[in-house]
Amino acid sequence: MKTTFPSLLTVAGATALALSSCGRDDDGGEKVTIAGSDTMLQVGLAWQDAYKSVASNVALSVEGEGSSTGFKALIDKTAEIAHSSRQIKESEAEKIKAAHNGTEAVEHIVGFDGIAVFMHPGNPVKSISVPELKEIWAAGGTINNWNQVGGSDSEIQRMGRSNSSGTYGYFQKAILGKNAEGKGLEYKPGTGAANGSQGVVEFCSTTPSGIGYSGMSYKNDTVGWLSVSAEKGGEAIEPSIANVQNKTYPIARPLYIYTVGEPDPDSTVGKYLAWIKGEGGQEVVSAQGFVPIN
Amino acid sequence: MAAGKTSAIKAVSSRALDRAEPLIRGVIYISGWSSILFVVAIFFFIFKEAAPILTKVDWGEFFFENRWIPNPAEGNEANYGAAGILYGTFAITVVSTMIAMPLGFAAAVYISEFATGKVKETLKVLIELLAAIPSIIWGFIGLVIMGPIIQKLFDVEVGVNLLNASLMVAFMAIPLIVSISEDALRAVPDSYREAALALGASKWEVVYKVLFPAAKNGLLAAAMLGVGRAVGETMAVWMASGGTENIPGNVLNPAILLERVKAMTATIASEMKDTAHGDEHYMMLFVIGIVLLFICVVINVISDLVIKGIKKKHS
Repeated sequence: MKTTFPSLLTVAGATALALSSCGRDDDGGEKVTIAGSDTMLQVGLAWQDAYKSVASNVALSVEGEGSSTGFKALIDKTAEIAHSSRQIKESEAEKIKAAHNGTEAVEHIVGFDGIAVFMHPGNPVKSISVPELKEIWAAGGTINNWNQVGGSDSEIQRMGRSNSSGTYGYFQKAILGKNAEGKGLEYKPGTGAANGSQGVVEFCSTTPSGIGYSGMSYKNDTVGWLSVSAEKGGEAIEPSIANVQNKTYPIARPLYIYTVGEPDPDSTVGKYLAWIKGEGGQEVVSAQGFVPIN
Repeated sequence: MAAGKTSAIKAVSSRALDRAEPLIRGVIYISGWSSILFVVAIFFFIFKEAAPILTKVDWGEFFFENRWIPNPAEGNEANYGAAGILYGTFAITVVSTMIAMPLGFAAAVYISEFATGKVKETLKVLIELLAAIPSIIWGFIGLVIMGPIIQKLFDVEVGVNLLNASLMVAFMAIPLIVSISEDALRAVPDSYREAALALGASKWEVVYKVLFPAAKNGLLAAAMLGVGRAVGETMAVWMASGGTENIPGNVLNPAILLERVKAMTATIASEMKDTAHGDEHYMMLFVIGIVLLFICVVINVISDLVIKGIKKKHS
């Protein structure tokens, strides 16, 4: 009878060898984990790439599943840096303080981002005002057809971000605003939730009557974007770095990095953060289509 | 001399086998029990994660209101009305089953009864290949290929909708239905076919008057497995369904096929990573998970009972 013992031994040996190669990152380098905003994912990866030539022994790992995940990672202690496209919520700040023995989260502004309103490249409508955007996107809003804003007779198909996205939250605050009682307005029912910023662009490029919002750095040739005026009848400003910097584009927000406590300037995190705010990191910011801080 | 050595070795190895037998039996026992253990553990885990909120859930809102806003605007309360999401899963399951079952049964009948030789083998291989396509590829196909086709064919604005997602899920369920139905049909003894043909039945009459009733057991099992696949499908549904919780006004209007929907599985997949462990949103997603598990259990129990009932009638 042929024994299977030698073959079992081989399998066991191979498994042990494979498993031992996992989890080996103790080659003396520093490891920093960064999590958070999907909007900031591309710039985060670009920072990671550029920083390799500044400090080659630092291993940065970047994830971008949504601003809320960044705060969650700070709370769970699975990341040292959180990217966020919105400000921290009170509840998140409390949880971070509780998880880190009273040390509070510290906010750093590392860039600015314009939110573009995307539509199908064939859409004849080229500009819109903030009050009209509110009527399109907010629950109870009265604009449901493109012909109400100068387009063809077709129902407006709204595609937004998922409920926990920082971009969702920012757009809600900036455009939807509050109702008469001071309560925040929710999005109109029938507004879809796309897979990340890229999903919004994909939807708008294939849907003639689509409309979506996303970071302006996600613009490409497959979609068009609307110029936005702050008031109806006002000058419509196109989303661009210059217009965000000179504060004429009405839908712009800061991009944040949050750390637990102020990082020691000599620590790995501290040096990385200083580089991000300095020339090196800010060059990357503008190369990625965002607006640098100065 | 040599013969003595061989028999001595044989004696030693058979004694070793005797001693190994309880060990082997033990390993098999543990393996069998471990699968039961895993199922119980999964149920326990899901309930445990949702437990703190189970008493506080407003079940009326959850089942009947279509308002899923876990992260509300400032000053508002969170809403967990999952009616739209439940409808999404239900609609996709029903529509995909309605597409997959006739196609799957028809393919099975063709392969089992009418195809011969090379055609039969090729078809079987191709259908197995269909099963091997990963779910996310189906999602891409839905997004990039089926979407524009639907837009052109029906002259609609949006290509990602109920129809798109149901088609993708149907394509995933068809190989399953085909292979099990084909096995069931093959298990029907040839004597049935020969007897029917001898009595003057046409080949088609043999199929639906003799084979279908005889293979009822297996065909139902195939259908149930197809439904189970549809309920649990995540990736393809997420990408091809349009991500919008909608409940249509008139369920009998075929236009609802072209509306965007959102399924339970896609909701859990897209929102889980954005929640902090243990917060309200996290627990509500597990509540959706409980409902999903419950649906799967019910489907399995019903199909088991029906199949047992059929077995009893025949034996």
